[in-house]
Amino acid sequence: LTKKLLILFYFLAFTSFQKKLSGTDLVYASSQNKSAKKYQASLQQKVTAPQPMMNIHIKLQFEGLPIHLNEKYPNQYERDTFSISKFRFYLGRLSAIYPDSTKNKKNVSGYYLIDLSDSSSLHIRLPVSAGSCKGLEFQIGIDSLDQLQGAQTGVLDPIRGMFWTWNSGYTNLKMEGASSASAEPAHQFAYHIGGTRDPYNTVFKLDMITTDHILTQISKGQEVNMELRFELALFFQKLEPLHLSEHPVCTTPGDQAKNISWAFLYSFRDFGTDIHP
Amino acid sequence: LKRTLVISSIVCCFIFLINTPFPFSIPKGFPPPVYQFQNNPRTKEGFELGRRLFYDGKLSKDGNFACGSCHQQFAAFATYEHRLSHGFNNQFSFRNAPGLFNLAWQKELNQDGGVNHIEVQPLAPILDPHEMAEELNHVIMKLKNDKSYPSLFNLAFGSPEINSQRILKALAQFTASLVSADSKYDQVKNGKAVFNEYEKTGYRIFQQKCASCHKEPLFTDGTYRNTGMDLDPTLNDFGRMRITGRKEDSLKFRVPSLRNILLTFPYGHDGRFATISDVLDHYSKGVISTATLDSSLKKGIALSDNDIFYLKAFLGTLTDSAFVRNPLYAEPR
Repeated sequence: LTKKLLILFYFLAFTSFQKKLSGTDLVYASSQNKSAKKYQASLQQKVTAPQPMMNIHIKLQFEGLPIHLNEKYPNQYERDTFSISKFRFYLGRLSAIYPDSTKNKKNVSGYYLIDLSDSSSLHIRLPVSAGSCKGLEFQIGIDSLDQLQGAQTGVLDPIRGMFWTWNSGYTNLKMEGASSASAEPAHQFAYHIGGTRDPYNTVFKLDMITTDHILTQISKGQEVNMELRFELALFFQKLEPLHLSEHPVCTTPGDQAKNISWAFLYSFRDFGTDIHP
Repeated sequence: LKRTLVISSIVCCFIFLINTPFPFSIPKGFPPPVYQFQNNPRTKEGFELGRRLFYDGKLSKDGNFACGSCHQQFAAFATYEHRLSHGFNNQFSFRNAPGLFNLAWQKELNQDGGVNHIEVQPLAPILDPHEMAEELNHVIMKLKNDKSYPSLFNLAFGSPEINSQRILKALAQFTASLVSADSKYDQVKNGKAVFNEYEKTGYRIFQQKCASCHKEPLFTDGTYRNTGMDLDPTLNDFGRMRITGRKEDSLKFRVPSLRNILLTFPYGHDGRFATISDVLDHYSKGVISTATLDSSLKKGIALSDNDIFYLKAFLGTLTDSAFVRNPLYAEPR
């Protein structure tokens, strides 16, 4: 009987020990951002049926050519040049759009931190459903509800330098550089754009429909490639009348941040007309 | 059988060493807290790690400014007798350091409500160049290079990894645990003590003239109000408007709790009132009318000298001596 009791005791001890370990793991996993979870889910699905994948390549361009950090580019609106030293933004909640304009709500992605200085961040693998697809829905920035979850890890770790400490929340976009048009020290300009409080919400969704409305057929086990192109020249064009010379710095939520956020979103090319906040 | 018992008790100890649950109890009469340790189950190890971090200067750039250097337990975790606190490189902080207690019931933190979650609050003072002036990756590096922290993180979280999330969650386990609910007022409410005549009269005046904003039992309703303090042009602190960008929030600050009030002087978001008498004088004859002045203060608050005398007697019953002496919250030795 003692032996049996002992075995029972060890069994209980072992299970409670395991429970504790898995308990902490669970807490840890749940605090990871959703993309990691989605990725794990996609790995599991791979074992049973091959999950179709969409490879999204993000192209950050100026007049159709790749942007390089600290290189000088002409700013035709102010007859001077500018350079970019930091360019990061959150892209997220990606989902495929079906031919009837409905969206794949099952496979909505988590968030990605796109960083010009880290080329690996410019490629996203998104699990999608088999079928035809005419575009992508996405947003720049983090949903307000996801900003209320306390301390985060992964791309939402405050160590990534995208978290506002004095007015809690993630910036959607950080763009810094220099332009001779700026009268700030060292001719700097800095856009730290964010805010989710009304009326200065800066997080918007965009439906990007492929220009020629060609449907992309996705079958099981297939991988398709898509390009998401951001055109910096378009951004500066849309910022008019927000000249760099007049507004070199915007680092707080407000009207200006909202305008810059819209301009940024609209500078992704090949977009459809359907924008919904 | 003896050996079995010994082995089993060792196994037991081992299991409890890994993770000792540390339940959080809600004081009688308090509403359910906002922060309920969701995704951050309170354990003895997590709490102890948070307490150690709270008192560790490593979280600041030059090692001199632990959280606990401006939040002193004997002052109910405010800075004792300082209008503004002192930070890195001989600088003043932007605001008067508030007392830290009953934070688990606060929907937003900082006096302008700019911080939306208790876990991310420490980022503000740690990264503020006027306060602790440090960078997050430096803090992580310093803790990783420390002899004892990796094992303390292992005890608290099941592996020695140190990252910002774990630091912040451990700190929240400590700060959200700072519960002050054992003042004479609480004892009276629980039938364990009685007010004297002065305190009783003061309580009646308090209920008539103060309690609509300083709502019991937390002694704040958590709203943001302009209490008629004019703008200090050297600080240019517009309070809540800094956060919302809305004109109607200009010069509004969160109604502070009155618990432990006699320990947390000076008063006001910028510490402009040296004594509690100065605060009461302000309400009775110093309220300055601006566009966003709270509607309840249009005529100030009529307080006679007698009222002030009795109110002060009542406010004294809000001091929680057990809280400020509780060794559980003290700097670990």
